[in-house]
Amino acid sequence: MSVKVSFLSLGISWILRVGVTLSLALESAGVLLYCIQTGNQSLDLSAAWQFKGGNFFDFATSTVRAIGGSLSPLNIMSLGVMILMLTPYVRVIAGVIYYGVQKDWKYVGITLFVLAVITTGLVVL
Amino acid sequence: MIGVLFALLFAILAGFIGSILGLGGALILTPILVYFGVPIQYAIAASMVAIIATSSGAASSYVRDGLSNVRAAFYMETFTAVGAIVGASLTGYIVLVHAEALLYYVFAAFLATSFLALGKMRNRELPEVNQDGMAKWLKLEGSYYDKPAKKQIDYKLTRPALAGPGMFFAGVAAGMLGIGGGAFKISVQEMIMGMPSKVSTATTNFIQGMTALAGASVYFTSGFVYLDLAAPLAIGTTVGSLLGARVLPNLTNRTVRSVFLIVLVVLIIDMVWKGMTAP
Repeated sequence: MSVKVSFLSLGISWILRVGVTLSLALESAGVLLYCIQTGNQSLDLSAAWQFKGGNFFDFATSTVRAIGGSLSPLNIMSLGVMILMLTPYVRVIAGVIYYGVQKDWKYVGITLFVLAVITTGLVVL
Repeated sequence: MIGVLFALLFAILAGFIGSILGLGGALILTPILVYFGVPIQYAIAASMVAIIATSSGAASSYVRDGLSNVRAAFYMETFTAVGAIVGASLTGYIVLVHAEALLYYVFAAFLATSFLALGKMRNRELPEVNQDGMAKWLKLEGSYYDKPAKKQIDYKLTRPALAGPGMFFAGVAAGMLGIGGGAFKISVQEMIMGMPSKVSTATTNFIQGMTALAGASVYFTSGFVYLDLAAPLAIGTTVGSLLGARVLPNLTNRTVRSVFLIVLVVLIIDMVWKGMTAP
């Protein structure tokens, strides 16, 4: 038994679900491969696993490029983490679109502002 | 160093508790990681990624059930997102001027205030709210099906103008400390806006991922993100949060608030301790 929720809520719930499922599958595959390939079951925090040199979008673009090159545990994990982090971002975009279609300009403004702030945070910081 | 399996297990626990209480789980994750020798910056960075996992995992259920108030969340994100970026940017500066102790005391004082205010409301299942003009204008209200009460609860929220700065402060705390942001958000929503405890937990879970994302880029740029640490933690907190999201709807608002009050005490002690030991 539950109350009737808006189309936006159903959409956002769906986006979160897909993001979570995809990232969970990729991260699990990556970690499993990591354990099998290295025979290592502890986290060694070596420099190879550290992402360096750039903001989140640099991380995203280098991840997408790398996954085309090889399906290494690191690249699979990176893709999982990238999808995970993009999930909340995508649901804000969904908010902007939904309120735009509804012509609810107050909330179009609010969601657009959030989107602008997050984008600034991801690009500039 | 920590074993993968062990990291998974305590991340599941962190995600479970986090999703029920509206705390990202960093409160549990960061100290354990530090205890096992992970440098604090790396621990906070990995926790940030884990928070996003807890948030999305739990909120995927809460939003569908109408337990997260999406409208209120978007409104408050305008403040928490800015706060998170300001907080993350200020961290270096605060260390530079040796104001960490002061910062921790300010946060502790705020949490102590909310402990007192929420303590008074301890036995009330639902708050009584007179909605003000701005809240009406923003249509800040909602309804959810309450399983323990076996009925639909319609609620209204109030004072968004006052909640805004509070949410900004919560964002600063999250961006700066990497922990405690959830406790601030819950306090603001319940004390100022009159949100029912369960809705507050669920809405905070929803917002949390966004606040963490806003601050997370700093950690990427600084090279603090280790994927072999972040990925197992994210797996664990996701699984934990999916489990927790099945539990919360069955609890009463009173139970949720009582457990939250205990966590508040732990947080206050933690902050005062950090203030006393800060350089």
